[in-house]
Formats: sequence, C-alpha cells, structure tokens
Amino acid sequence: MIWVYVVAFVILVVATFLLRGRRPDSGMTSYRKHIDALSSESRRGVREVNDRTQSTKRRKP
Amino acid sequence: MARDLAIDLGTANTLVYMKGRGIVLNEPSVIAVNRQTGEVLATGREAWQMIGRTPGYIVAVRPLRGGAITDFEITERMIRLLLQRVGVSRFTRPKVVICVPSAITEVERRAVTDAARRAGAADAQLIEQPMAAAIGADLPIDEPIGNMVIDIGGGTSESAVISLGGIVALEAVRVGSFDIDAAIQAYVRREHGIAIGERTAEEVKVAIGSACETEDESQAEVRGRDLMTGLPRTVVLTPEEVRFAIDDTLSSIIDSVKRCLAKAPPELAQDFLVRGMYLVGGGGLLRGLSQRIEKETNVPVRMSNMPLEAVVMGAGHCIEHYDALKTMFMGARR
Repeated sequence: MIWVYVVAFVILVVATFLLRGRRPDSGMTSYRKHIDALSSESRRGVREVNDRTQSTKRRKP
Repeated sequence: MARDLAIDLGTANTLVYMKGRGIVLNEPSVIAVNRQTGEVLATGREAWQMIGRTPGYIVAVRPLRGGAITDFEITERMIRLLLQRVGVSRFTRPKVVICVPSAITEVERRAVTDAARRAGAADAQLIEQPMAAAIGADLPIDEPIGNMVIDIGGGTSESAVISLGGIVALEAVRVGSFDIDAAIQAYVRREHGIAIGERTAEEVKVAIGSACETEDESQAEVRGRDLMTGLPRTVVLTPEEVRFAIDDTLSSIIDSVKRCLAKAPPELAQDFLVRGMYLVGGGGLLRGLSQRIEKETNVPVRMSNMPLEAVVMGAGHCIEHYDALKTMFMGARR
C-alpha cells in the first residue's frame, strides 16, 4: 500500500517542478554572469595564462 | 582529462589556445598531400614552404578560402593533425570553440563543426571572429559603449559594432589579404608580363605594400617567369605601382567598414568618434591602412596590441568561461 503514497509523492514533486517553470529572474542571473565573464578583470586571467606560457617557452633552450 | 581548446581556423594561419596554458600552436593553414597515396606529407610551416615548389605528385594547399572550407576531407585531416600535435588522442576528447567568419553559411558552419567532431573533438562550438577579436583586443564590450572592431584576415574582412556583450551591427566581405596578394600578382602579369607566385606577391606586399603614401618608401626587385619567353626575369616595382594594384581591393574593404558604421545606432555612433575603431588581423598590418581608413571615415583608428592573436585570445577567454559565455556561440543564438 505504501508504494501508492510513494508514487503519488514522486508525481507531486515532478509536477511541482514542471509547473513551477523558470524562475522569473533566471534571465537576469544568466545575463549578469555573461556580462561579468566579459569584464576586463575576468579577461586579465587569459592574458596572464598566455604570458606565463610564452615566457616559459622562451626560457627553454 | 583533455584540456579544452579554442581554435582560430583562419584562411592564412591556424592558432590554438589550450585552456589554462595559452597559445600552444600558431602555424600557416596549409597541408601537403601525396596525390597518389593520399598520405599527408607535411602541415603548417613546413607545408607552407612547399607552396608552388612541389613535384607533380605532391600538392600543397590551403583547405580554406574566404574563411570557408573548400576541401572538407583535407580540412578534417588538418584539424586531426593539429589536435594530435597539441596532445589530443582518441581517449582525450576536448571541447572545442572555433572562430569562424560571421558571413559563412549554415552549410559551411556545419562543415566546420563536423570536421572538428570527426577529428576528435567531444563538442564543437562556433564563435564569430569579430566578437572573439573584440574580447581578445580587450575592448570594454561588457559596458553600454559602442566598440567597433575591424578584423582583416586572409580571406575575409569583418567590421562589427559591439555593446553590452553582443553584436549590434555587422558587415562582412569575402575579401582579405590574399586578395591583395592576388591583385599584385595580376598587376605584375598584366603590366610587366611576368608571372609570380603567391608567396612572392605576399613578400612584395610586406616589403613595399601600403594603403597610402608613407615615409621611407623603397622599390623592390621581383623575380618571376617571363610570359613571352618562359625565361626567368627581374622587374623593379615601385610603391606607387603596388598602391595602384591593390586600390580596388582596399576600397571594397573600406566600403564595408563604412556600411557597418552606417548601420550603427546613433547613440553608439557618437562613441566611435571618442573611442575610435580597433583594427585586428594580419591584413591590418599593411602600412598606412589605419591612416587611410581614418581619412575616409573621419573616425580614429587604433591598432590592437596583439593583432594576429586577438581572435584566438578572445576564443580562449570563451573556453576559460565556457558556461557563462555559451550563449555567445553561434548555434546558441539561432
């Protein structure tokens, strides 16, 4: 008998998850992430990685 | 675990950026193949030295023209070899971001991603070259400011206005530095009656080519094959002749820059007058080109610090922040 309650609970959880849809601010969150990833501070890392690699290469005989 | 890669698959050169390591490969996009057996004999710089100098059974080709794949099978083999050289094996399949011209068609786009996947990539995403160039040139594209980038590559020239992390206006033409070389070849053939190879034409462009009159101009001796006698002959070319030869090609590039400026919204257009336009790509290194664009558009032109590497550095940034920037990939928006 208990399996009926388990199945009903699972269906309820899945239905709630599906009906809830996307959070209203999900677009804002992902857009902010996108813009932050393009900031100068975040881009500095790529240049530093490359400069470090290039200087290591130059040091090699 | 494979390290993810960013590839600038250019008509002239291919650059590879490895996540966490920086640029690990920078070579001409050339492959030499044995016509009889189909075996690859050389790639990159070694194959480039073979162009126009091979015996009949070897063919040294650039598998991309105008930013698009002209020979799918050869391109796939070239990408496979490139991936092998940076340590990708059949057990380590990386995610790959490839920079492509914005003007390529859906079919051409699919050809690039298919070639990369078949060559060993777990996933292949595409990013427009001007966008990657703007990121790599360190422009403040995250701000509500008009950033204009002009990318003059081997086969294409693209201008884009970028603001708030997206492309606002875009203009692309399938004209690039190789067309400048071809114009020099055609001029020498027509006016001096000698045939020269594409490598010689490129050397002439680098030695005395310019977009407008510059200081310290000198002449160049050009050696080729006389079309009448078939014998080797030397002629002297002046910078004025080269300027005349390449004028039409440069005009079509500058016209596309003007069209892009005209497409920009007025709010962003005013920013260009203060901030200027940024020139990237090997074609941008032509002497006097920035001055000529500046003169014809009345907008200041600035050269990027790393004109040849800007595109792959931008794509490298995308691979470092893959999840945050995956909305920028071409498939994600269409």
